[in-house]
Amino acid sequence: MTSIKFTEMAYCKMILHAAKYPHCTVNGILLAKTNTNNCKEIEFVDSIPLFHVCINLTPMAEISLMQVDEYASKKGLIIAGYYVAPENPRDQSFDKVYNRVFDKIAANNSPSYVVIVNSTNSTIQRGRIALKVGQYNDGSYKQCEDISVSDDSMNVCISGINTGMYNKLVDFDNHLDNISQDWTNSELNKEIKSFL
Amino acid sequence: MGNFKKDLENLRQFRENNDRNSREVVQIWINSIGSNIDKLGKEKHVILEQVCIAALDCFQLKVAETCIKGLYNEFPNSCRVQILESMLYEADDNYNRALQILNNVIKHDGTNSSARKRKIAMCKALGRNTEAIKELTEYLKIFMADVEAWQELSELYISEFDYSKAAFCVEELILHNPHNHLLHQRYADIKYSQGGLENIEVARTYYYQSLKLNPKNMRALYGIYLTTSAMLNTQKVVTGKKKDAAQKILDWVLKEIKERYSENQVSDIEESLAALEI
Repeated sequence: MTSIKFTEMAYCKMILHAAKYPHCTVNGILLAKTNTNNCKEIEFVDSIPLFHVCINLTPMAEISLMQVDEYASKKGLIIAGYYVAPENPRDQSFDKVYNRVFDKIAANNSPSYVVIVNSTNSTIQRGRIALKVGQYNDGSYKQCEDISVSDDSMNVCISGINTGMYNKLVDFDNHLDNISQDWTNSELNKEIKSFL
Repeated sequence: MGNFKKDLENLRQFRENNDRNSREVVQIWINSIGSNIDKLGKEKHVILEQVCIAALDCFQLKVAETCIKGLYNEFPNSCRVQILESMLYEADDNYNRALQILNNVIKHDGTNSSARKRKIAMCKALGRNTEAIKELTEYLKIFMADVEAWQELSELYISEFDYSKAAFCVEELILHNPHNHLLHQRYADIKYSQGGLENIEVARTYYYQSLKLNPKNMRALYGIYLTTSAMLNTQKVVTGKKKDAAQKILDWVLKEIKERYSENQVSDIEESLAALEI
């Protein structure tokens, strides 16, 4: 069984993205280091929040994938996973979140991972990990049980939600609305790091 | 009481702009307005309704209950308040009770569109998207000019990957509002997602229109880039002239995109644009 790790940056940005748009389905990309490409363990070091309006339309998703790919390769990272926080927390099945963005990611990186964020307030507040991870291989999913998120990530998330830190998060949709907004979230990354 | 006035002003602004901002609204209620509700004068009931919906968003059922009680005191038989009450049950996962209230409202007043809309929203909340679509099409047979409903229906179809029907809904929206660049862009997005050379050509035309209506629409610029390069790649027999034209458009659109970025001085992200050059 593969063990899955999330760094503070990857975890917090996923949760904050879901918290910023509680009434929308949001999605994004998870980046991992290239050299840890063994099957026993994978660590997601960063996440890129993508969309919150109509995530099933492909044109802007293609643009974002091109740019994120370029960004990732410059940092020595690969696109290894995809996350979704469904609008309706009842939608927890892997088949339901499947779409063409993930299809593309899976085609380029195998095995790739899909993460479903269960974004109800109570799960995050209680410090329980609000994630369900599936490993996708040749058209089928295998749910991964071995997920580790540090206590620091939880604490940053809880305080981030209470202080409205999610307002500072920028996703690719925000960037397309106003291109001076930075989808790499370099400011927010610094802030998350300063908590540690 | 400077703060109090400012809070009221904020709430008013949220209402006028149709901003949801539920967390802020509830915070304002808790901090200042909740204890001064009788000082609000004629604004009182609008604010109670606003806070009630915001509180339901944030799962502050106690707050919502207080608001509904206040409203019932004033309007004991109002359908609008009954719908709020049904939403309270809905938030508490008591869908049967909520449905009962809504059915009553509809029986009482057949033209009440918001009760019908709540029923559709409830289907959605229960994850029954196909049922929601069916109900919504029934609804649109009665209320054909409801723009929001068409919008919702198109989004539901997109979530079910039924792009051609979603496109139809957006066509309807464009007829209602032909000068909205976002609708043209959305139509193009759907057509592109649908795939196939013909659809991509249609998509490009709509991206052009969207850009014409609003030269600042970045999505339209990117859309033109995508559609043109897709046409260059998929067309098996590209005649010389057509190819040249497409190449010219590609060069132009890339130049435009770069200009937008350099205007905004975002050098970090600008580097990622290199990906587009291939």
